[in-house]
Amino acid sequence: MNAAKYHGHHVWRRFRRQQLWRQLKANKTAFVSALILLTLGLLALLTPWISPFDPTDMQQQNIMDAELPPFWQLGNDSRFLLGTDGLGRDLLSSILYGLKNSLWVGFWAVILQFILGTSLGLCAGYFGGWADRLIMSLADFQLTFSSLMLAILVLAITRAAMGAHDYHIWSPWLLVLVLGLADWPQYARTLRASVLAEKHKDYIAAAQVLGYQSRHIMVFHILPNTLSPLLVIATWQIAHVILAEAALSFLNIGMPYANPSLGGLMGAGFEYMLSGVWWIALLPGLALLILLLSINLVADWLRDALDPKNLGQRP
Amino acid sequence: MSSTPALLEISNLHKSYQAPNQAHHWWRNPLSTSDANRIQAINGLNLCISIGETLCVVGESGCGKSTLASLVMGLEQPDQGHISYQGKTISGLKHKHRQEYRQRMQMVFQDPYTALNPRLTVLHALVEPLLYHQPQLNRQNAIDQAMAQLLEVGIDPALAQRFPHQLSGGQRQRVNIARALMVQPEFIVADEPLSALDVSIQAQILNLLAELQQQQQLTYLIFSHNLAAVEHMADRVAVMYEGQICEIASREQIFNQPQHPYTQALLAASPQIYTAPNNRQKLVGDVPNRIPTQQGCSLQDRCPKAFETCRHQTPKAKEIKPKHWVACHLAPNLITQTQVILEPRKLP
Amino acid sequence: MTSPLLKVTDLHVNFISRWPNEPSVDVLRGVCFELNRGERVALVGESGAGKSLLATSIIQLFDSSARIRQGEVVFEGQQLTQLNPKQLRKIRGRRIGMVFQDPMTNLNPSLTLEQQLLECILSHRRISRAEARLVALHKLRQVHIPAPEARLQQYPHQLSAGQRQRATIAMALALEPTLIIADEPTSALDVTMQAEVMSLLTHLCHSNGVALLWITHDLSLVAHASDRCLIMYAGQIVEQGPTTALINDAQHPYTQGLIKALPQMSKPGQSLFQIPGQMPVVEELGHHCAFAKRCEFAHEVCWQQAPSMPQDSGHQASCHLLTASQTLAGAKL
Repeated sequence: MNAAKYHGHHVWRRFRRQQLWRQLKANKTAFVSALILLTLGLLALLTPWISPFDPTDMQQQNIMDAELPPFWQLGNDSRFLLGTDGLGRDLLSSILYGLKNSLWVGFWAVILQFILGTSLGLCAGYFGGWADRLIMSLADFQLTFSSLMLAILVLAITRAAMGAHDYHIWSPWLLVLVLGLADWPQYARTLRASVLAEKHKDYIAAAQVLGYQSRHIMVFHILPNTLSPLLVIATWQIAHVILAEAALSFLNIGMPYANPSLGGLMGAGFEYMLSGVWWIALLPGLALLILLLSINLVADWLRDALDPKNLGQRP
Repeated sequence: MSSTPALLEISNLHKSYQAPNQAHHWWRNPLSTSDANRIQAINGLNLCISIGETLCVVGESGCGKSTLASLVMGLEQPDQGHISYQGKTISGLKHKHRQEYRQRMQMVFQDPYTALNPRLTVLHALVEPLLYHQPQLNRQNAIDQAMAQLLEVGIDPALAQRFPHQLSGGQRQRVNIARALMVQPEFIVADEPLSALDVSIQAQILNLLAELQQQQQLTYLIFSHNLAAVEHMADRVAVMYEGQICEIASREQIFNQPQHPYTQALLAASPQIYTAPNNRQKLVGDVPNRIPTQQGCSLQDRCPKAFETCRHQTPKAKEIKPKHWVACHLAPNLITQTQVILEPRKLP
Repeated sequence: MTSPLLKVTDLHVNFISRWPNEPSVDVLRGVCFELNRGERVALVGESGAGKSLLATSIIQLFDSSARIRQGEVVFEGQQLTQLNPKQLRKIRGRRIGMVFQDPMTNLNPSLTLEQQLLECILSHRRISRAEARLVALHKLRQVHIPAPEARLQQYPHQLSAGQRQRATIAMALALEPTLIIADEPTSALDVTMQAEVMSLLTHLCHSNGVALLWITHDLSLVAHASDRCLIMYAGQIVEQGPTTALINDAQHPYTQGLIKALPQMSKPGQSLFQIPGQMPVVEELGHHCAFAKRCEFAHEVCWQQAPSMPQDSGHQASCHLLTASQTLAGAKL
């Protein structure tokens, strides 16, 4: 077995010793938030099966069902628990699908950001010299642009170029790409700072003296010790990306209306607010709020929980 | 130089660094040459270590010990000069050529805590080098070897699953030594292995190092400022100041008849439990940073015996007795008493 | 007989556990000692013995979740454990000065020496800035810092380690306290610097009549710099007495082991005496002698009952074998 595989074996044991579960139970806020998040995640995953209607299916919509209120208000229809929107789509189903889309975009965008930012940050910090200068210049360049403006620009152009139909198919991936590429500098800079600090510690010198290659040292020695702030950033970034996607959809530049998203629903429902049809904008907004809040609280907890001093505590 | 063949030879080594913080004020002296901002860490160092011996290099912080250790281990490359191991040059080698020497030369670091990866258990830290260099071993085999090594350095195998922050200082240092031994080296460089440890643990580690040397025929290069430990452990002692060796001799000669004023001052300053420090002399001032273009002996500002030549010419090492070299203009006419009263430095 | 300057009686300090259901264990277990005016006392112990914790407990400057469970600390007749934070602040710095270990971090890197010294002096004394500056200069001269006027304008990073440590001593002495607690002040310094700072501190305390509590892990450092010596092990004081008597005729097996383990005590090439094992962790302590596991003279009684320290002044050790008036085999060095 080679050293890399042994490291792999070790990760799981180390993770168990971190005793994250015990720490989670000890912190009430985090525990509740994590439960909520888990529930939302499950709902999102099981949406195709548990959703009462399919909001992307034109056949199921009937314009006569439009603007029906939720179940606790007068004039509701028992088929639509949370009411319907302007096109007659069930709001509950739309919210569930919107949740699914939001989490999907959030997840993949963050994966992209994470991989890109981590590899670049690691190289910049460890190798220094011209690699460092190049990568940091790129990061600075990227940071000068507001990611939202850039996203709007790119998406608008693509949409005009592709046409509505193609855009409908590709938009989730485009969103992932645009939002993913927008925020990698955060990871890179944070990681670079941590790497610079770790690099001078004796155990890295010991690893070099033992003859390990740079790649091995970076991935198995430096990265595990600098990962915690990145995980916290990543978790927090899921919320950020979801919010960005919601904002873009609100402005009708993100997910097309036919593919429901929480932001899109809010955007479309905004006009109806003044005429008393409040549920189209507010209920998705509430769902979004709960989602973002629980993610942020879990991210907060994670930051404290990942302290290496917690390794190996006796239960 | 010595009858047994040399394992490591260092000749005319030079290394300088860019001084930090100077760059902030570049606008004050935009035309200054880069030399003014450089610190000469190693300044023409010559050293020779024979197989099986323990050479202790004594010096205070700022003398360049850590730089010398990094250069010997290949973590940095010298500006000038030459390091050879068993006759073959190792300074300036690229990474892949250096590999074969990596296993033969290992290092034990000063702070046992930062020298261990905080996220690896003791067992993992020992198994990793073994599996890295011998991937054909299976896991259980590697674990058995690591456990055997732990026993050899005196660590209870029950501690193998612990993390560094759960071990005491002495235990951590033992793990460091065990890790260095996993690749079966011939030569070990120890950079202040005792200074982060308590006195009674120092005794344990000293005994361990002596035992291992005997069992495995190791050669040691130990950097330390703990003169009592050095007197106990060394075969030969080299005294280092500002990037140069100012005196090198056998243990008896250094401790009984130190010739260089710096050696004498160091010996006088080290704490003794029974002898009262009545004529406790102090070398006034601190170790300054040497710049590359500085002339003369490094000790000129602090040495009471300094005269004209000391300010202009860097002293060369002279063999005043067999195998006893001193770099001082006063040699071989130095006072042979061990207790020299050093004058306090005259303040400007 | 005049009352002692500092009297610590039966001090127990424990840490509050982060897990709510875990019981807390005492780290300092019944520490008792006295310090008289102008006396220089060395507190010697290894890492984990609790000596730094004892120092911070006296001035109650805990940095983690430590607290005093029981016991008294009486300084100049005042019960320090019963004072509120405001009163304690008046005592710290003014009556008790502290010198810490690491010269790199015990000065604020973003303030000049002048700012720090003046802050220290002016927060306790109502004098003008100019007067405070004169006091600061005087103190810097006392600690032999060359060109003190220039040094006042400098930042800590522009001084060498030895000068920083001397500046810290100057700060501790600035308000003319009656007691200075020095927690390993020379451990981070080189040998020649160590000798200088040590003699400076002991000389200043002697000449100004300031009592000194010197905490260290190295007995040979304080052998000639202290009047009395306290040896600490596993949260308790196991031996105390005049330094020369203690070194020449150590009673407790731990002290004897510490002295025998010094490299000076063995011939070169010979195996050093080592005390087997290491200091027990807090969880292993119980109602028996903490040193029993490592002691070559351990008897049954050592495992059943913790020994007590006789209360008279002079040279005593807490060891069952002594109270039974038996001479220890091989006890003489």
